[in-house]
This record gives sequence, structure tokens and C-alpha cells, in this order.
Amino acid sequence: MPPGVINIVNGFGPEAGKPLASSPRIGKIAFTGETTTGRLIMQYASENIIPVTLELGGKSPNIFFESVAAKNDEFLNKAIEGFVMFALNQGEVCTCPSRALIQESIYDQFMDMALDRVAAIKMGSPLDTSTMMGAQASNDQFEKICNYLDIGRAEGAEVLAGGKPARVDEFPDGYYIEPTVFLGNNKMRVFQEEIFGPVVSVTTFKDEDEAMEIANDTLYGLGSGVWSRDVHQVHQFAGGIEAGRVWVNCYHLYPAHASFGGYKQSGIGRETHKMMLDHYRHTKNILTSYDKNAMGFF
Amino acid sequence: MYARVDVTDEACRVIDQLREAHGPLMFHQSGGCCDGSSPMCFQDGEFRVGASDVLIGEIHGCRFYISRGQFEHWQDTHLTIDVTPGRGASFSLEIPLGVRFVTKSRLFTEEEKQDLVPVSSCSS
Repeated sequence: MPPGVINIVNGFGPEAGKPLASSPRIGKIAFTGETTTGRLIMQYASENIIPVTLELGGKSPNIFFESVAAKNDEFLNKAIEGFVMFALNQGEVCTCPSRALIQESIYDQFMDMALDRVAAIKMGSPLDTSTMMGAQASNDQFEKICNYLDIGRAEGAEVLAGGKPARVDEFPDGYYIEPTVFLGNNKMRVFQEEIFGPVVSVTTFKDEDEAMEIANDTLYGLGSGVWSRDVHQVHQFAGGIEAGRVWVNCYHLYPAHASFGGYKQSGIGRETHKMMLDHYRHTKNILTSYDKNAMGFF
Repeated sequence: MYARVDVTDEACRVIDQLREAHGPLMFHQSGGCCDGSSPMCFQDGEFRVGASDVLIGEIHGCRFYISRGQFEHWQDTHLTIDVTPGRGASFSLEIPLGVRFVTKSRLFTEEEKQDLVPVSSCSS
């Protein structure tokens, strides 16, 4: 990168973010965060008529069709791990598969295995290489997650695992949260809001139509996962999901050149793909005539 | 009538401090990533509210808004605006003080549900 291309300006929103976002010297803004600030950034950008791209989070569905449990093999093992990917979240994972949709016919078998795997998650020091999950990123995040654990219970969601702060002897004041599995329905707040912690809300579906309805019944549309041994089913289903990323038989892979971004309130624009550069460029058409003669109109 | 949103004494003190520095204030409840689910405090009028927002009440003299889509899912919960030590990641005015407003929710009781303060559509 040539000198001067990347400049890092640290500061708080009102004193750094706002002047940057509303400066006439700025040609384009990208913002990753939440919806209110996303709207505010758009508002500032509108003052100078410059483009904006936004990534504002999600409430990503992770959908498991019955064929995943047709055999007890390495693929079923992979799908169970795919479910547990919700625990890869210390308050900084926008694409967290925080809603798990499991086909009714395999629910008992699938959840037995999944809950065993959740119970095996080891929390502890981030410097210990056997630690699987560390503390949450901040105190405000920790409190927010705890509040959602209360809301989930109050709304009638059943706690299948976790549900409270975790005590890690080495760090008694650490912001640890037990990996938490709620069972409930998609109308509950814990199914509709980004908790931004190691919390998944599980529900069941009867058929593809119901799975699609639940998957898309959200304000957001960033990530999603579809798991099935039926290649036709995954292909067709992935096409109907209103989300910028559909992981098929995998989750949380981020290879370069796989476009990333959201539908609906998850934002505008795509990143990590070459098309991202178009957000930062103008298209110019230089139209040259090689004819010396007038057009003949006037 | 029961309020949909209330505020703790500690949060009121922070609001007073901010009001002294910035003048009249407003709140907008956020959703989504990062600082999502947190209330955002701005100078009154700094954030443009519109037809897609709902005014659900006032806390310590500041109007409190939420987007209509989010309100659909939040309408059965009472909100208490509190403050906690922390470093948020948004444009909310209290962040430089080393504290963060937080929204604490609980479900309304059946009695409260029968007699809630009506919400109104926004005029900015």
C-alpha cells in the first residue's frame, strides 16, 4: 500500500465518527455496527451525497434437514459441530448461527448429540490452547447477554443448556457466559434480536415451507446455514433464503472472494469480493467520436 | 397508566451531565450487531426519526424512540434504561465518559398490558 492510503483515526463517535462521516472530503463511507448508527451514518452521508455501505448484523438461521441424521457418520458429526458454531461468539460475531431450525423428525436424536457437544465446551484462559471459549469482550456486552438470558426465560423459552454466567476459577471476575441453548418459537425476542454472545435459540419445523417461513421471518439477513444430504434440496432452499451468505453443509468459512453482506436491515453492499472495489470507484464512460462531420441536426 | 420505558437514578445523573454539555437530548433504541440492543443518546434532533419509528415514551425529559419493525417484537416488554461501566462502539454521547447506557427488559404483567401508555408515530 502506498503511504497515505490507509489512515487510522481513533476517537469517539461524536468527535471522530461524525466529523469523518459528514466531511465533504470523504468520498465514500463503510460502516460495521448496529442499525441506529447505520441510519445516522446514512444521514450524514446524505448531506454530501456520497455512497454508503453498511454491515449491521443479523440473526442467522442454521437449518438442519432430516437427511443429516440418515447415517451416523462423519457428516452427521460435522453437522453437529455446525450447530455448536453458535458458541464461537465472544460478543463480536455478526454471523453467529443464533437460530437453529431442526426438522421435527430428527429433533430428539440431533439435540441429544448436540447438547453433549455443547456440554464438552471448555471455558478458561485464552492462553491455554485447550480452551475452546473465552470470556465475552466487554462488561456492557456481558450485561446485555445476561439480560437476554432473563428475557428468554421470562418469555417461556426452555433452557436446554447453560443460561447463566459461568464461573472460571482462574478469572473469577471474567465476563464468562455459559454456552446457552434455548428452545422456543421464532416470535420470541431471543429469536429476533442479535444477542451477540454464545446463545442459540432452537425451534423445529415440519417441512421445507415451514423452514423457509421461519428462516426469513426476521428483520435481518446476513448469514445462514443449510444442512442436508440432498443436493437438490440444498440448492433450491439456498435460493429462497433472504440472506447475503448461505453456507451449505458448512458454517463460518470465510474464503477470500466469497462476497459477504446483508439483505434487509443487515445492510447495504458486499465486502470481501472483487465487486467490493466497485463501491469505491466511479464508472466513467468516455465517448469519443472519430467522425469529423457534424451530426447534421442544426 | 403504565410507562413502557423507565430510567434509573444513576442513568438520570448521566443524562443531566450530558444535557449540561450538549443541550436537549433524545434516545433511539438500536438493534443488530455490536452495540445493537443498546439505547443511543444523541443531541435532540441529531438523529432523524421518521414514519418508520415509534415514540414509546420519555425518560428524564428525553424522547425515547424505537424503529417500528423492532417495536413489533419489543412491545410486550418494559424497558429500563440503566448505565454500566463500559466502552460502547457507537455514536452515543455518554461513551467518552467511560459508561454505557443499557436497556434492561422484562415482560409486562397482564395488569400492565391492560393500561399501557399509548405509543405514537413520530414527528421529527
